Amino acid sequence: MLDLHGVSAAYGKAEVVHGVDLHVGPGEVVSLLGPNGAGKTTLLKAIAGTVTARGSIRLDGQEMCGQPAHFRPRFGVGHCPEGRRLFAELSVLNNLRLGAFSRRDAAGVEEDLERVFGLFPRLRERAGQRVSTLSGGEQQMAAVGRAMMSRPKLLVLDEPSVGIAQRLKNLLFQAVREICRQGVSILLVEQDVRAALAVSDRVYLMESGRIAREGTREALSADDGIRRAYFGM
Amino acid sequence: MEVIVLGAVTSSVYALLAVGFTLIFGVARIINLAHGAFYAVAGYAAYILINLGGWPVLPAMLAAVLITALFGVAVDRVFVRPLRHSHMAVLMITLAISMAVEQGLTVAFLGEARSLPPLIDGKVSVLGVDVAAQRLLTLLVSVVLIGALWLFIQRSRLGAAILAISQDPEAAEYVGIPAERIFALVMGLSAALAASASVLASPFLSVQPSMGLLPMVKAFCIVIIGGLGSIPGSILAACLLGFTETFVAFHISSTWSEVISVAAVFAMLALRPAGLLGKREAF
Ligand SMILES: Nc1ncnc2c1ncn2[C@@H]1O[C@H](COP(=O)(O)OP(=O)(O)OP(=O)(O)O)[C@@H](O)[C@H]1O
Ligand SMILES: [Mg+2]
Repeated sequence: MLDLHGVSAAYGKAEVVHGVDLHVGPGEVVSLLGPNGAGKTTLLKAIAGTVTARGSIRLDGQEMCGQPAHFRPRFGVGHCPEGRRLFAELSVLNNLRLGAFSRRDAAGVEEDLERVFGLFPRLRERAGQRVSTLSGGEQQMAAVGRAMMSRPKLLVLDEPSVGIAQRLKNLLFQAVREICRQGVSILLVEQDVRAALAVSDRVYLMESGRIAREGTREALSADDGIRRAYFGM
Repeated sequence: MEVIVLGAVTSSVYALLAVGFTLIFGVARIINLAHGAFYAVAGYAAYILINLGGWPVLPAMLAAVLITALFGVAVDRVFVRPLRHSHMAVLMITLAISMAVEQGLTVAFLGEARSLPPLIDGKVSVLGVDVAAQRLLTLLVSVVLIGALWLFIQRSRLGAAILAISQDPEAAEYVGIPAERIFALVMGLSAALAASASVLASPFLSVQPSMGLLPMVKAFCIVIIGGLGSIPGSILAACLLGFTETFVAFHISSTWSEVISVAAVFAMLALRPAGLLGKREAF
């Protein structure tokens, strides 16, 4: 599935991610956790191609590093960025359809539209509404839905639950589980460590641009030192 | 009455010019100072095809629009693209292109004013006013072109991509929109609109090397008044300016009409810098 090997990423001359190795297996949910400024978003951007990166970034054996960002959906990466970044003045439906921009199979797109509406029935009700008129939680659903519209092999989620109500958060993580059940691998960055651990198979801990620890959910949440330092629980 | 009919014609030409100029700003965040050069290139392309190539008028004009669109794409690909990261560099290179085009035309054609034949001759009576048929055709074609552009942007897949990039270029990358190709497409469209204005209006104006300057200044003024990046704003401002200028030219003098756009720009910058329908972020 996804294999990162020695990945470094920089903004201009300032390198903020240094030689990261990371792996996501088929059907796996992997969390990438760490303090603010650790470089989580930057690493995800390296996978999406929107920051300059070195090293090897492979999806199902295909090298993506060095390819332009707009090829990523065709490789099978669905990216749901930090801060949602929806097209605010367009309707929910148009946002979802734009998520399928790199696809040519019209029938498949309609199918996936139904699949997204199945995951988030709320979006069907709001389909004709401009995104800027939605609540934060609804916008987050639209952002995840948009990423799913490329029919990705790997779904990358950057802090999907930030600033939304607990009830919608539960809905969202239910949807993440369902997406995983449909056979999509997931790489998740999340501030709510408890919620992230609950859905993850494995966890990476990132600090100052490097991977500090890696392990299964059970191994990491059993370690008392790590629990106190990272999870505050 | 005459003011209304002629004002509408002037407004429509202004709108064609301004819509293309504001479109490339809204999508690629480029202030394209070569916009007037597109206007001049189209005028001369049509002139060459008709007077030197012996082409019939309509095919020559369509070809001129196509040639200018390709010129626009080339300008984007060759000159703007490598400098895209710097606004100042893009400003300078497009200014350089517009000067190069003007100088090139002056050398090749000795700066004399030439004229294009109209697509249709004769006069038509509208609202009790006799108007040259070419002017009426100009109004009609402009309205159709702007309507078609609107439909293209609102209804088509590429139109959706254009809107997406103008709202969030990074998110557009995440969904797989090839930004550079869309920028080139929009530059081509923008050039084609300026070219259409040129081949429609040149029969009643004239073809000369500096012919791009005034349209460039007008487009700039209209876009500042209407709001940078706003297509409806540009159309509204084009009408305001077109009608006011025509009114002043009729009832006061044509020298004064040229002052209006500049005065309107100053007033707008002082009162509402974002323009009539612009968003403040555009500045
Ligand atoms: N566009 C940028 N230009 C320059 N430096 C940046 C940029 N974005 C982030 N950085 C820097 O890169 C480092 C890593 O930032 P990043 O956003 O990847 O962290 P993060 O782990 O996602 O943090 P958070 O939990 O706050 O989202 C930080 O020191 C940040 O200041
Ligand atoms: Mg982040």
